Amino acid sequence: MAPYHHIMAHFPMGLLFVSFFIIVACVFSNSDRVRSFDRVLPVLLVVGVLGGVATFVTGLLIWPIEAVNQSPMGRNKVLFSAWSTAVWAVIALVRIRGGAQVWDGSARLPLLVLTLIGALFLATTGTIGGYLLGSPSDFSLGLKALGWDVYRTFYSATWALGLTVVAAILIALLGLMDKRKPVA
Amino acid sequence: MSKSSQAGPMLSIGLFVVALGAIWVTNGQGIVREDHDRHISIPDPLMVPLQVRAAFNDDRIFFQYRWPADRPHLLHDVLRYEGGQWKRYGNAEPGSVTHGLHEDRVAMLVDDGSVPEFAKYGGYVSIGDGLAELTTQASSDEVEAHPYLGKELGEDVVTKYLPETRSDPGDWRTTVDGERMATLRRAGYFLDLWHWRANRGGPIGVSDDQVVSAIRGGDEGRSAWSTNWDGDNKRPRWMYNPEVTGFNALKWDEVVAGTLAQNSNTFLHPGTIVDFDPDHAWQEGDTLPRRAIRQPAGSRADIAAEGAWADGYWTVTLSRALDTGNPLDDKIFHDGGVYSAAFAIHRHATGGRWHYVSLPVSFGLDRDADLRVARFQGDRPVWGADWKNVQLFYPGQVTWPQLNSERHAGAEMIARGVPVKRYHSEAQLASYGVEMEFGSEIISRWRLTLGAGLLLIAALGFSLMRHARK
Repeated sequence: MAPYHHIMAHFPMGLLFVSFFIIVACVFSNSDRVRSFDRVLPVLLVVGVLGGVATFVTGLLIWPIEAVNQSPMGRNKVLFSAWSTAVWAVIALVRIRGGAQVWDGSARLPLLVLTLIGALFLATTGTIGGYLLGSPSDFSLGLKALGWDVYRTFYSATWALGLTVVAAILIALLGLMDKRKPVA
Repeated sequence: MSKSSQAGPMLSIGLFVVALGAIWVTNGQGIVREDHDRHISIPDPLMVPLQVRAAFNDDRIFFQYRWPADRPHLLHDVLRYEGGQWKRYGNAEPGSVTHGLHEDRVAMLVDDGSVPEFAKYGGYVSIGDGLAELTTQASSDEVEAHPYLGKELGEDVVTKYLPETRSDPGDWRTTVDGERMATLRRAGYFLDLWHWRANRGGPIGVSDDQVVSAIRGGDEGRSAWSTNWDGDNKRPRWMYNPEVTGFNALKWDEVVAGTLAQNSNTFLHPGTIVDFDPDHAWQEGDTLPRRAIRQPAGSRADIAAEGAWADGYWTVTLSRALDTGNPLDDKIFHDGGVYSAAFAIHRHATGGRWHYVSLPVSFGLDRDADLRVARFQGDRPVWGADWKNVQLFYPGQVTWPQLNSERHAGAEMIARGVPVKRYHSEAQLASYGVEMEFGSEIISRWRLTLGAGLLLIAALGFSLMRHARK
């Protein structure tokens, strides 16, 4: 399964990083030429996310689940693959549901933040894949400078996880309280 | 779109970033800790540099080692006079032993290719099931009751062993029969272990000469130490000869402070020893080494040593005949030969498995290898050769059976003979070694972290989707 996973991984990587550049360009430019790229964005995002899911699944089939669970690098790969796919799925859904209005005014900021995080997660996922293939990269030095050593399992303090759950509940409540009326 | 209509999404993304930031900045916190009940102590730092160089002449091979250590730890364990009795200090414990007792050491496993996995995986090949000081160590009662290890060899703990000495390498109990064991030994299926100890042998210029096969034990012959304890009378057997040393005993404060002189008078050995005098006016805090050093004999006495600590570094030189005449205990070296070694040190009063180890290093006698052993003329090498820098690391609790099981994603690579260096660096192995000691806790926390992150992303997606209704 490993060769298929490696082949598969290039598609979401390519599609989602192209999406990243389009989103960043659309956030910082109002020109028609730049905005014309937005038309292909939904397709790139959907195919990229579906490719990400397929890559995630094929990745889980390379080694026995027990081996993945026991390996710090395997655990990190699963975590960042899952987070990355989830973030890009949210970006895709928001863009599709919001249409071109997502580039209006300050509405673009949440998408920009999410996209930057998605790109960071995607790059991290790819970096870990390189380590699993025996090809370390200097990108991990940047992650280390940010406080995480890729050789260590990414897990967090209990209080931070509690805070995250509380934040998730508040964010969901903010969504429920959103008074914006649907456009007829 | 009004500013007020964006308040919800902006607040959501703000909460998202704060929570994600908390997850990020606290990564790795809250699990790795000292846990002596489970035989866990994590050294800091996880890696230490070692320098090695080597030379040979027609008769002998010399290895010189240099590594940093804050101070020398010269005594292994001691007997202290307190309250009218002699009490032992320096019992083995996880990590640095209390009062700084436990001698410094350097060790080198050597093979000539007879243990094929060693050149690729180094000492990992000798870390079997149930070894002493692992969290899962076998009980002394069970080892003592074992017909071969306990009854025949007198062992009470499981020590390093090579896989082929067990019918099931993942079960320390399954020793092969004596005839098979002897056949393997004759075929060279053992690792030669050079083991210099700052107390037990070092002060009289010898290194322990050991071997790893069914157990980690000494070569044939007598060791370089005996125990300074008279169990019947519950007192030491020997003390210092004041006519030689100027004192009957060491002072406890000097022992603990690490200010003992690095000369032969610090140790009990034939030149400084007399029978213990129970009638001497022993003072509170008088301290005697629990180990008395003696000249080793037989195959166990093959390795000569010189060692000194200065300016924050130990420098130790070991030498041995190329051919000791003991091929069942020692690897015999030949001009032009290439061999494999793996190094280890104990420093800062650590013992047992709390050492730093290296990955395998090849060395060639006047041949290219990781470490080229230069030929020299005369009796002693003039050390002009460059040092070989070797990265030592804390190995944690990683066993050969684990590495070859389905729990290790690289088991297939081992089966294909891919060397450990192909996929792992020393830093990686050190980190993995620590994580193995807290495996179940880390997996549980990792799952929670994964789930919390997905929940956070899903919540943000829900919120932004609600806002993005067309």
